[in-house]
Amino acid sequence: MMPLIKYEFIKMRGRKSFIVILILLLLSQFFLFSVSLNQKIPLSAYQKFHQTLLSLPNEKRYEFTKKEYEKYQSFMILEQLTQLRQNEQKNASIIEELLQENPNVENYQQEYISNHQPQYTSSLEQDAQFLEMMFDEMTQLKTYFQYIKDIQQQAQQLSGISIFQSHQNQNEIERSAKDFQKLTHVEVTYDIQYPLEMVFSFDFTSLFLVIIVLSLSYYLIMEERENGLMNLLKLSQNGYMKVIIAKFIVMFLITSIICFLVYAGKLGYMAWNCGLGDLSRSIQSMAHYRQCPLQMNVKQWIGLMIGFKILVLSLLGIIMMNLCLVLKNRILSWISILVFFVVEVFSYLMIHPLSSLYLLKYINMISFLQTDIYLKTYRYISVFGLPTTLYHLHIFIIIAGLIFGSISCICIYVCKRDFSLRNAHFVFKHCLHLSSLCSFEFYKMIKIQKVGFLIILSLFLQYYQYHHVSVYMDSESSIYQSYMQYLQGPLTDDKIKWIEQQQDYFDSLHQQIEKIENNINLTSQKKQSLKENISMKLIGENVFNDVKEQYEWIQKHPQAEFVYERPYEEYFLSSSWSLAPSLMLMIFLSLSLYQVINIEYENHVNEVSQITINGNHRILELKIIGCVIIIGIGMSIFYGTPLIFLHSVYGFSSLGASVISIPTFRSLPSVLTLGHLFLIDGLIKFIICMSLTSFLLMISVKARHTMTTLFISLCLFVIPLFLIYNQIDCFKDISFYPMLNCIQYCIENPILLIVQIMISIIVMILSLKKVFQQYFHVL
Amino acid sequence: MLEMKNVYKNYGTYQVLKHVDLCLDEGIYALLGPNGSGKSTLMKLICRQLKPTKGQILWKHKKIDDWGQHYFLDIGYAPQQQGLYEDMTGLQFLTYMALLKGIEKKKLKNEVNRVAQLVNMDKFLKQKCKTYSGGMKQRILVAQALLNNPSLLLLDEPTTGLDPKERVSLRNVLSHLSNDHIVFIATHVVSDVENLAKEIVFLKDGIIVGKGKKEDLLKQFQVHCLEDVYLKIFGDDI
Repeated sequence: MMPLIKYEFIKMRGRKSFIVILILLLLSQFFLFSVSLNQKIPLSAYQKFHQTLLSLPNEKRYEFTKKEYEKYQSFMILEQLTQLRQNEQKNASIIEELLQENPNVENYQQEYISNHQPQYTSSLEQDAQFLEMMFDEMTQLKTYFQYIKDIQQQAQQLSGISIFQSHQNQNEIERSAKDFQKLTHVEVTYDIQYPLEMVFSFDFTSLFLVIIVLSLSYYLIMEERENGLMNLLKLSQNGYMKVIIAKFIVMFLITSIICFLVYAGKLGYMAWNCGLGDLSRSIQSMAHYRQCPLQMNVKQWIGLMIGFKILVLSLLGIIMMNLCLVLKNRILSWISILVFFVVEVFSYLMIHPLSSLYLLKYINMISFLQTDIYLKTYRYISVFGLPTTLYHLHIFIIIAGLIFGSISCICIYVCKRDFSLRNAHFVFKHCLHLSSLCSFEFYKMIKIQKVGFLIILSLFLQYYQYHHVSVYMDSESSIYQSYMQYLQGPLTDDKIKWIEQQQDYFDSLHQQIEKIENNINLTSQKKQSLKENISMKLIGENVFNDVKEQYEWIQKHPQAEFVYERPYEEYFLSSSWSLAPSLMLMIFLSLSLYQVINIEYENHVNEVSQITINGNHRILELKIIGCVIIIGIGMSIFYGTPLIFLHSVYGFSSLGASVISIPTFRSLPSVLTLGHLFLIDGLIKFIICMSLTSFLLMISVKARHTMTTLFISLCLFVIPLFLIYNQIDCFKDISFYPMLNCIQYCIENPILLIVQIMISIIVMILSLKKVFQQYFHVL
Repeated sequence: MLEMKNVYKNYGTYQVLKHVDLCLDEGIYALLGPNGSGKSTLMKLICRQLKPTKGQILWKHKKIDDWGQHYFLDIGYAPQQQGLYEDMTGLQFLTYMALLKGIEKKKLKNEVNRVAQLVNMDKFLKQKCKTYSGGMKQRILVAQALLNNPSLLLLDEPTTGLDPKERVSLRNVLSHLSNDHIVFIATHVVSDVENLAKEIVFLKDGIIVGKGKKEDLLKQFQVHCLEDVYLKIFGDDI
């Protein structure tokens, strides 16, 4: 059996399309996962909070969370009050109402004035949201034993009510009380649940694992059927039954390995970024698992979750293997599994838990795949009058499904005589009409090399990444934005007048404070109260000082203008807007371009194409033009989306203003405008993309092997950026990162940037030269 | 006219072809030899996919390298390896090859249909190449070699995978071309070429061990059929 298993592994290793699908889906799911983590609250907030909790004894953690929550809720209200007080007369009633609703707010006023910087996230609003979530979790943990007690009391009350007197109802009530009775001695540790919960509840992981397992099962069976080897294998002594068993084992092993790697990777990522907490704590220490009646620690729970996932996916794999064995057509097997899923999704979503068809809701693949839900839900279901927990029902069905599915597979394999496939003779009546070399090369790239699919996938990922993102601006930022929106453009007399008026306003506030301090008739308490009210109005002064600083700079440098700098600084200087898109772009380019040249070598079409008049330079020129277009599309997708997003939030105005209008860009030559910066940024990014692409093409003609090219390109292009993305900063200067973040390096280290540009151009020229030499290489 | 003068080809220290002298003018020529005798290497040398280690190959009395890209206008080649774009239809593949061969756009459709009809593939052109059987793939490859009506047609094992009917059909097509084309067929199936070839060349371990018309070879080896000549030459290897 072992040699058969080994050969099944070897066959899978050789299925390039499967390997590519695997890499692509794993990368996509990891990307979506990392994006979804930071969409609302950054991971660093959880890490900081987790570290703080660890420094406290268990019994003080709840109190600490409560205090932090109250403090930041008050800060939020004070923030609101500050904005309302910019127009105090108009908003007087709202201010009063807010103060009446939140009498404790005054206690935090002094603290707010002295320091109201966000502690966990980048904004006060996020901090308040985050602490609200944490407080909810901790409250649930705090009240856990009360919850157990309530269940016991409820059980006693219900058993006395006449409508629950039936034997079945009595049984269920007693059972619930008994299940939770044993949990009264569970130790509850106050810690965050988010990292672990996210690892197992992220739906895209399940979706991608399902696609991977279906593809795996498809390839395992269809490999032999496509080649007509299935009939041949059956004639051999071992092929009669052992082959299909070996295929089961390989499917199970590969599923287990992939599943384990995916979840281990995600757990590792979360552990690295925010910590997983004490793994020996009870499962009930995760607030959302208070309903779980199982006595186990978090470590055991992780094992159970992964184990369940493997079993469910294996069941799905076996269903697909059955379909692939039974059906005579490749496409039909996919259509059948799709129909199966549509029915399952429909049943899961549409059937009400109390309807007569409720069993179809729970004995359902979608329900099975949501392992985290059925482990944290305490529910008894009557299966033909027999009360069973959801958890036990699922285990039973999955194991029974695996056994019956395997037996059915073996029976089909043994009994079926003809395994030949009926080709799908789809006649493409409206076959794409291609009539030029250019259109053929374009068709090969988009359709055959699946670049079209990659473009659609990229657009979806970008949409998914940005449509949830919201940018919060604190009161100071909002005031500053409103100032700058009024002032933007060249300095005029009106603007000078407005600045002077504003200065007078703040000066008068200071004079008022001075007067209050000098007033001997006021009590110190009254003085404090009056001063605090004025101080709230003075919050805008810090921001106004920035405006004044710009004003003074513009007076000295007439070519400068008032510019709202935040969108420019975000786009050109913040790595959060450039690193992830660059990483995505590199993955996109590697996967789009690794086949551009190799497709002919792989298919051996080069043997006929190269001895044609247009099959040499012309075809290579077209391939390079195609690469340039793909780079353009990739850059538009990955850099265009953040640009559009930032424009919609802040607005890129004053494109014609000199770069020295923005304080951080003052070291750049004043002749450059902000519009020029976009051009320079785009051009340098294009140069590095082109240089890397040329290098990739050179690897292609050297290696003449698709998977080698893909592997080398991923190592060279993606891994350095991936490491930088994960804060391993030592790679920044030695990789091509400076060119992807060129404006920042223009300011901080222009020499390094110039050297990199020179090297890139040289690499591009040499690589292209080599490509032209090697592509027609005569041995 | 194609001439090969004292051609040698080495892969490292291994000599694949030794002292090959050949002169081909209009007509069908067969290159017979067992697997590994150097037939495909010889074909690739003529196609300029390989470079001879020593010796010269002349086309119309001029070195083939000196013709530049124009040399490719004169040749059609069907390799032994069945290399096609699996996701393209037969029509797309032939159109693509026609474009690569520099055929004008207005003539594309007629030319593709002409060669497809010659190899009896006109009914299957709208199917994807991956759905073709081995014989159909082989016919498509021969069809692409026939595109643009090349003066020199090089066919490496063209009958592989073809059924008897298709073999006869291909032979008829090739016999029609024999008047004004040079057709050079590499094969190890004697029956495919014995009544077709103007001259037959036997290649053994990279050396030409016999060449001439069928009748002359039968006389020379004192046998009744070409297969016996083959057995006499390669008998030790079988």
